[in-house]
Amino acid sequence: MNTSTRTEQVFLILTALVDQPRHGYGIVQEVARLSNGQTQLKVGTLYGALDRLTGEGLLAPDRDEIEGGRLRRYYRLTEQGAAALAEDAERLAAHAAVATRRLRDRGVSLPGKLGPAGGAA
Amino acid sequence: MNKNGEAGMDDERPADIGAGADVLEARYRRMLMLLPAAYREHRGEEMISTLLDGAPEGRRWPSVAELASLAALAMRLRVGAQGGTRRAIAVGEVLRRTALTGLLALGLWTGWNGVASLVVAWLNRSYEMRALPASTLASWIASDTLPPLDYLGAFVALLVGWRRLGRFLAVAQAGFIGFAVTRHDSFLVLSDRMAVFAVSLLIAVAAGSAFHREAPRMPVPRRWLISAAGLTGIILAVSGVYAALAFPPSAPDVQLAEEIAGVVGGPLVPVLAALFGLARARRSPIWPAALLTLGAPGLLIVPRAVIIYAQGKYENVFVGDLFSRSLWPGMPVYVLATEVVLAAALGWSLYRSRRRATAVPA
Repeated sequence: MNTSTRTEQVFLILTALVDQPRHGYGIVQEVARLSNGQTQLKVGTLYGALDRLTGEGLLAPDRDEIEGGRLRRYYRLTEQGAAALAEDAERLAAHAAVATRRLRDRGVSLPGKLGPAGGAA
Repeated sequence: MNKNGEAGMDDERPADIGAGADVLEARYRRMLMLLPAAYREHRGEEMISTLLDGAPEGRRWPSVAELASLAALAMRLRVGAQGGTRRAIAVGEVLRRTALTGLLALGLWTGWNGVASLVVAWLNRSYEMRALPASTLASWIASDTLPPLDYLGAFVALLVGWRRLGRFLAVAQAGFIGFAVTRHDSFLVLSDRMAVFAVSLLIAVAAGSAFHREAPRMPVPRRWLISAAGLTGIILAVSGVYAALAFPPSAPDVQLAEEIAGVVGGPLVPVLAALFGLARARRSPIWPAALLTLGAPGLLIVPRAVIIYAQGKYENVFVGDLFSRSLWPGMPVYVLATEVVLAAALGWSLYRSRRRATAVPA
């Protein structure tokens, strides 16, 4: 899958695994936290994405643990995955910077971090 | 580790408390039966953990959203998503080719009919036509131009990777045909129009299921577009040669257009499909299977022909309501013969690939 076709959900899954390996529910929780609760991954979406990203070499299984009689499989971001995420982040940041600058030029007041004191532009 | 996958912050799992968790787990396990067995064996236990961890306290049933999400994953896995079996990948390949070939064939067919109809109408601007209300004329032009635009638009969109648009157009065409069929046909089950509707429904299902977001992109879209242009050229060349040989220059344009449409909608496309399926069978069973699948709903017109034949109306055997103006009215025979050839090609190709797979190297 090339950069331009990765979805926001996939971007958030990759981001969720930057700091440490996580298991399925850990990824769901972290994605919800990163998106301020706006993205709630369902199990079919999560495992479809994990299969695809593992197949593309962007993620790899880290370890299996049994907790309370349940299997938890942890996934980690590979070097290739980190590079792909960095590329996506750079592209999105560039788009956001252009959008922010143009909105400011138009005199639109930007809410939150992009507002008067923000530094996205 | 806690249930968020983070170290050092252990917490409780609400859904674990009491017998309710056992009931919910049993129901989740039943829900996972939707998945292919091999995938369930590989992923089932960790999915159960993820589902139970995310379930709020007191829940006893899987949510509709969870069920829908899992059903969609199960469908994607069965038509070639990453993680599916080799067989599922092959099914996905077959369905994608079925959808694209069907959209192209119907696009060319309706496109020819639409163009011919508009050209003839322009050449024969009769008093009656000039007297038609603008709204009638507009709806007539729309019914001639929208179907080919829909088919060919869906074909191109799916090919170049605009999957949402392609799937929308592929489903829309089935709705359009379904609407037209119910308006014009009182004997749906055994009619030519029903066969066309069944083909368009098959295309919609194939496009909707096999061009999911995790399906691989079609390799070399340019080759498809070149083939489409080549196919159009063959159809136009054969039709043109036929028209030049069979019709005097004085033949009315309407008759000429209808006869050419008869050739295109008659034997030409089935013959090309059979030849192509035979040629590709040497390499793999994917193309014969795709073409066989695409032609299968067309067999709906065969029982009608048999019934008419049994009634002694021999002259009508090869004439159905849709193809009644064809010069070579033998559509049931063409479809049946093509399906037999493609089934034989598929059987031969499967036999060859099995022999190759089990061959002991010398």
